[in-house]
Amino acid sequence: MKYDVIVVGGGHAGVEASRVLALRGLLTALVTADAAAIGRMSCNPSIGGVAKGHLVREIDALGGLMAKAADATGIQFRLLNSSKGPAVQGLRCQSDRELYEELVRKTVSALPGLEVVEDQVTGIEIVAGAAKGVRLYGGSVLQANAVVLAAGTFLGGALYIGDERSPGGRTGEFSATLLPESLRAAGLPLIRLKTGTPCRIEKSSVRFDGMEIQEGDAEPEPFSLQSMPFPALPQVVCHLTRTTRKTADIIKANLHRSPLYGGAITGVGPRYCPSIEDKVVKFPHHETHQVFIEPEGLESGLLYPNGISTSLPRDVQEEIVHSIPGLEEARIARFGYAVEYDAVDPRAVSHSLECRAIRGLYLAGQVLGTTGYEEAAGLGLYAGYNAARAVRGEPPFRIAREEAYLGVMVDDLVTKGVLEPYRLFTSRAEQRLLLDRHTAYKRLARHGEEAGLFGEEETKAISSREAAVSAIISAMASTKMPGPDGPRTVASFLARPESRAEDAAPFVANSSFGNKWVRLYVASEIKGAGYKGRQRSEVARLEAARSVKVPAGFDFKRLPGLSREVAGRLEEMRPETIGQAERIPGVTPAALSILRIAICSRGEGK
Amino acid sequence: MPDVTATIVAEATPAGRGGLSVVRLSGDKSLEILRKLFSPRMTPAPWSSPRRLVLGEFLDSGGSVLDLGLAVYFEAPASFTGEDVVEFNLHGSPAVVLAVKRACIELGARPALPGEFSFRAVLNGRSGLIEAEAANEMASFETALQAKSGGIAAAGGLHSRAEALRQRVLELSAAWEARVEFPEDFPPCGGLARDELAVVRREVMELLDISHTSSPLRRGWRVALCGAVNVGKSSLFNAILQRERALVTPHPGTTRDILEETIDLRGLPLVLIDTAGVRESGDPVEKLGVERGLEAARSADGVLLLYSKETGWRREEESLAASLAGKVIGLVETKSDLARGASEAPQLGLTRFSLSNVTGEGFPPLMSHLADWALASLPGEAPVLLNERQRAALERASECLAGADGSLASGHTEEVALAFIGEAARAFDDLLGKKPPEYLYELIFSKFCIGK
Repeated sequence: MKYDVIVVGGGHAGVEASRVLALRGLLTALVTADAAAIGRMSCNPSIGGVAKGHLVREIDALGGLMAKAADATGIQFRLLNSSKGPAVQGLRCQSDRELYEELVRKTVSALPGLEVVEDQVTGIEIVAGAAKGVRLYGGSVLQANAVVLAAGTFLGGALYIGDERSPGGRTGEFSATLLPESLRAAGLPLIRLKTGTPCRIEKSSVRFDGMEIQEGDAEPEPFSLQSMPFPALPQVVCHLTRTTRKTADIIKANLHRSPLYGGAITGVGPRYCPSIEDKVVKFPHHETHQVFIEPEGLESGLLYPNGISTSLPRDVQEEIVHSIPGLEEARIARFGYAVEYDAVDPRAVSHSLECRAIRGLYLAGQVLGTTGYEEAAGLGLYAGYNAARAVRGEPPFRIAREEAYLGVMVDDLVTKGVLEPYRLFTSRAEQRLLLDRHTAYKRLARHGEEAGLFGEEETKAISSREAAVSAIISAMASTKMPGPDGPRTVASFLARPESRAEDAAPFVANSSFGNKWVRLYVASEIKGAGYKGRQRSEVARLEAARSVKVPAGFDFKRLPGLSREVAGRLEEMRPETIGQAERIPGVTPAALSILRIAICSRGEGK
Repeated sequence: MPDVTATIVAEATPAGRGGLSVVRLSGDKSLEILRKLFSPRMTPAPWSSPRRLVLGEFLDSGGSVLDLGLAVYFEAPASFTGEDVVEFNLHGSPAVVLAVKRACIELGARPALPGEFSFRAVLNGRSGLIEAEAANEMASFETALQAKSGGIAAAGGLHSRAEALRQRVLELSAAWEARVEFPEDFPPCGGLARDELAVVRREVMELLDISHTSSPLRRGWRVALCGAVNVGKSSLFNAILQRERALVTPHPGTTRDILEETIDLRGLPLVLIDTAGVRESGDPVEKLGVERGLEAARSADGVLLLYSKETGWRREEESLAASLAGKVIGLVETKSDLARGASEAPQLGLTRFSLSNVTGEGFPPLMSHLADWALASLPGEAPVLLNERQRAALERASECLAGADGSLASGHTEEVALAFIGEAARAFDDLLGKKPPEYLYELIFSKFCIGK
């Protein structure tokens, strides 16, 4: 049996990759050790957040699955940073874990041309420097023209609870031990990373009185503006409690039993998602830490205590939980753990997420050094689409940093590499004012359309909304409304930071303005026109600098001040423009300056 | 913009005769050229241990000796430019220097452009941009206070000041960013520290302000000598310069054009401006000269108003004093050895000096007065000399910080201010020469002198 493309892994990255490949009409195999685990939320039952929420909408604008799956199964939606501007607001939802996973599994099984193969992958089949399939446990080979590796934390995965160490990528699941060796042998540089998850608690054992209640937004905004109906499920509340001084004392007394502090774990964890033992050690002046008590679902009997991720021994976990108000009697259904795993140094892949050393091998998700469902899904979509294009003989697909958070993430990963699992932040984007969630479809929908990932109806919905927004904005520039000093344009009224779009509604004829999300979009564009223009001219300057051509036959080795490694890499890749050179992993800003000057100094390239 | 991959050569010492001339090579062919051009007295050639001053002969392509001198080799990256550098110490003869340079060019080097050595030092991270600029400008400084305020040491100060401001701007945004990225982990955002932003902005403006008041230190204090015809402006001009720079005759209206000379007055640069004497004239050339003189006086930092004791204070002086009001920093009564003419000058709240070119009376107090006046106009703290580029970068930073504050004041949310603050940080990057665009280099280094 020969496939067009094989996707290894059925997590958020693997699912998006498989889906785009199948929708592109390619014969695709999704190989997973456990078909029941497809679409699993391994950590918290939540999607989105600051920057991540933007990314989820970008995934929707590119025709991906995550936004609609989250909208259909969300049981609480909140816009974080709602008092701030659209560039840094973050959509976040609590999901019904079971319903989310079920929806994803059903979506995958309904994809034509996609076959789910339940087996363990032990190696990548490489022929003449190109990935030609995967080897399975037992020795058989599945053949394909390209492979997308989205193995999550399963490469050399090891779970830690106190001094218990067991192989595995997730609790109760296996660890791929042979696959990392195969990658290493093929010349891929591996790094060791770490992450963790808290215990799960039985809802019936928790006292909620005395905990602060956290409600969702009264008028929740969906991730996908095409989601209908929305919200699809009844909405629930979360609760907030805090660790106590006693919690800190318990942790301090048992630190020597932590694999993190005992030295058993050497992998690097994400600083921005610290375990509770990390928080206690690194922020000793904070007497207490917040713990969000998140429901795992409408019907679920489990709760997710967000904020106390830990790999301390079971008895200590019990003590920690019981030291928290409301959880004094709580029963632990599943213990928290740390997981240490191998990832590929992302500098080993190009901007198409294809390995430079192994043609046809694409990487996405945690195996590429990221953390987070959203990051994984975005990269899966991107890698899958590129694998599809490569198999069809089409040029790679790329997104610029200025175009999307997905572009920022890919560029950061492949040019800078990672020191810890990579998570998106709005501040990673130089021009974040241009990347607000309202403009996601305007920025990206043409790519999703070109890839054929939208139905006819969805394409129409997106384009008519965009057309309405442009029409409303241009009408506002000439339509007058009364003001304190006589008539003024609607645009000049709305441009004021304190003006609300609702108050302009009587002066807007277009019926689309009745839609709240259209109003927000219009208001954001009008209020931001000035500073967005400023950022746009900065982008234009950057683009002009990038378009400078490298003369044919240019001798990179003769550039002064370049390390041999950088010169060698430039020589090997032979970029045709400064922009291409900029995207070569390992080429530093200083090296780029030197290259630019050298090119301009020859009076060429302009 | 020069080809940065070439090996370059230039003399690092001034052209002309002297005890010693230094010719400097930089680039990857330097060592090869050294081996071919220079025959060390010691064998084997000691180049494997760099930074040694070696005696030997300089040979042309035919093998004949050009000079006997010293050579030193600095191995990359531990050199001024960060590349392989060779320096030749030759006898200070223009002919020898030329011959050695020619030999280097024959062996593959090309003549360096102005500032190219410093340019490479910055490019290769061996020198900060501000320091490189200062090193270059030091050559153009003529007085001690200039060198102290604009030289390498001061550049280090400016560098660390700019770096500190940049750091504070970044920290300002970091505190806010942390709250934005982790809204659930931090207490609700107290907003951007606007007062701290104002403090940083005030400091940038102060720096610009000090640099503005320090600017005479760079260009010199411009002092115009004004007065009616034949009161002795050119005589005073020559007397201060201590040479016959301006033509002096008994004929009124001899000076028609403006003359300028810079003097070092106790470490302060002073630009003396001799102007045409003011009178009603039918001669169009003289008329033009008078207008120009008045123009120069108005744009000067200060004016010395001269009148002759012999003729006294007349209507001409009266109206000149009125038209230059605010600019006059002293009254000078010339020809004090002659008998007093009509009326004496009114006080006008100005210091008056009586001078005689014949007796030499009155000069020292006048010069002290000028020096005191110049010093008093300097800022209270250490002067800061910014060049045009540095000033433009700081002004951009100041403008962006103002933009940040303005956006907050008008009710925009903080991420708009943050965009301005990011731009301010990039302006500091420009000032410090971090990630500079290539045109910047071109602009900067074209003003350098050759061999630097």
